[in-house]
Amino acid sequence: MHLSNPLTLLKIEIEKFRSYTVIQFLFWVGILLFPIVLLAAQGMVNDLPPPLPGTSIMYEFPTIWDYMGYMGNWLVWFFFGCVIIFTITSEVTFRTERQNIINGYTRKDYFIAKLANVVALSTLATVVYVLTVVIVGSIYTDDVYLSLIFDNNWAIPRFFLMSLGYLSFAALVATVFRKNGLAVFFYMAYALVFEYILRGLYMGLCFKMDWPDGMQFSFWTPLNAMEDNMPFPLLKLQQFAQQVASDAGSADDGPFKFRVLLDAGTSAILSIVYIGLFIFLTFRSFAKRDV
Amino acid sequence: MPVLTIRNLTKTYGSVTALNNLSLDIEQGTITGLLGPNGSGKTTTLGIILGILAPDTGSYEWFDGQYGDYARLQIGSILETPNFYPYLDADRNLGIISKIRNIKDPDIDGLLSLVNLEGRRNSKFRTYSLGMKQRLAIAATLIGDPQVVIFDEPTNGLDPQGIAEVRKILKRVADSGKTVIMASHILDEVEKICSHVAIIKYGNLLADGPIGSILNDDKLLEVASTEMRQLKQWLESLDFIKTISDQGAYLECTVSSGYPLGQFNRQAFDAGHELTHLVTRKQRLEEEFLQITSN
Repeated sequence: MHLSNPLTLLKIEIEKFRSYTVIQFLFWVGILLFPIVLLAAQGMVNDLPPPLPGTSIMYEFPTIWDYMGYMGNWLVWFFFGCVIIFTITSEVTFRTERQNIINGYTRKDYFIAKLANVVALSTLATVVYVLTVVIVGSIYTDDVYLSLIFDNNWAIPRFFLMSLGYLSFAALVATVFRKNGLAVFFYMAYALVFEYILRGLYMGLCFKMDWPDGMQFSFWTPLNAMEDNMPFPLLKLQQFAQQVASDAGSADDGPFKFRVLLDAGTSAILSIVYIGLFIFLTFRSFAKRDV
Repeated sequence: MPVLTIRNLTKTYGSVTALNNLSLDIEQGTITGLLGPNGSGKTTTLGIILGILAPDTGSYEWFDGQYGDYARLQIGSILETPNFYPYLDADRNLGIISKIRNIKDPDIDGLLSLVNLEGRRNSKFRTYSLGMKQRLAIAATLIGDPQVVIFDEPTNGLDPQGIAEVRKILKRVADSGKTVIMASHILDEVEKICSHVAIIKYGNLLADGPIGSILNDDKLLEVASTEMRQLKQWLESLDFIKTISDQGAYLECTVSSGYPLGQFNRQAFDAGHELTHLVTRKQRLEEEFLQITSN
């Protein structure tokens, strides 16, 4: 009937959580840290050694998209990921998840409401990213013109895809673990520990393939694929140098015998596949379960 | 017309069978007490018909299926504990429920007045006493004037004053003509409010129907004299006395329904017993419940 409209459900979600202190704190700190982290790096990172360019490229168009994107990568993963976890697990703690269903939501409504949170927060993160880049970049770039601002024009959809990936993963973790502490612990531990173990397992398989091509598959793990939408910019630089050396037929093509980053298309396609999988598993986990 | 049809519901938790092939119809306009000892399957039954628990087998249908997946919008319910957002006040909690139930212009003032919470409407839910939480939950069940109201142990954990307040509200709801389903341990409460009962034990439905049909026609007799031992011996010799139970100050007897109790005092006097206590009453739900569930 009426409820399955995602916008209606999203409005109810906002009504539920706009006064919840934990979520408010994570949400606003996450947003405020976008410009703060970028500007703080100015004082903390001294000029990079040659042949690397100066730190000014962190604030100037078009490279600011990469640097802010990488910093936003961590902010979205930590702060907004925790927001999504708390919007799901707090309802289990308060038993309002079951009460929402008793009151009239179908399970599909409840699931769509949570999915609407994920999409809305990913969109908002992207808007904050774009605004921060445009404002800070305009201040620090000497000669600003529109085509220069949007020179790195794939950064926006890639940042959105990365955010959607992290937050749909957070939603899955929260739905499976259900308890605040346990879900946050697993979410952090997965990214910082378990993903590397998983990468090791991938490598075990990959080493059986031709080296170094097989190595590339070890980077196909979920969060690495998401992260490579907005990777550490200096790795992009290194990869570029490696590519130039390789194209020139140099025997010394750098310390790595394989590409350290997934290419844009691979990371995007893998992200879309993982996002679909996370959303499907979240629905499956919630659809039939006793609440 | 049944508002709820339950057919062969079975639910297990590991090796424990919470519901065993339970079938039950709830008729429109009835006030049905769902009775049973702790762990009998009352809350599991309510959980399944409210969509939060999945049965292993069996089915249920609300309103002949006319509202599909949205039947719960026609039902107001408290299940176990009052569940609200603790950091929100009564107004905003009820506002969220109204939106979930798609009620455009809810009478929140009227509902808060009904449950005597107007004075605390702007206090956060977490600051409420248990009685206030329970009253707010009753207000929440009535948002949108639902056709069916379900209460699960509505007076659980309340102090005597809280019980009296909640009972008064329940009576008003029951008198309003809605279909009410109420799980309760307090049989006195059920007997006063309900028109029908369903008795469950170990997940099996033992009896159901109008209260009048559950209670048998036997009368209860409370009797005492200065010589209790002789009185008891005499009572045991009477064929219309079915059971005798020593209650200390008096003997409680079940008397066959056909016996004219008006003659009992004279009969006792003629047999040499001077009665110091004589009370006759109908069998109460509590006695019937204990008898049914003890088998």
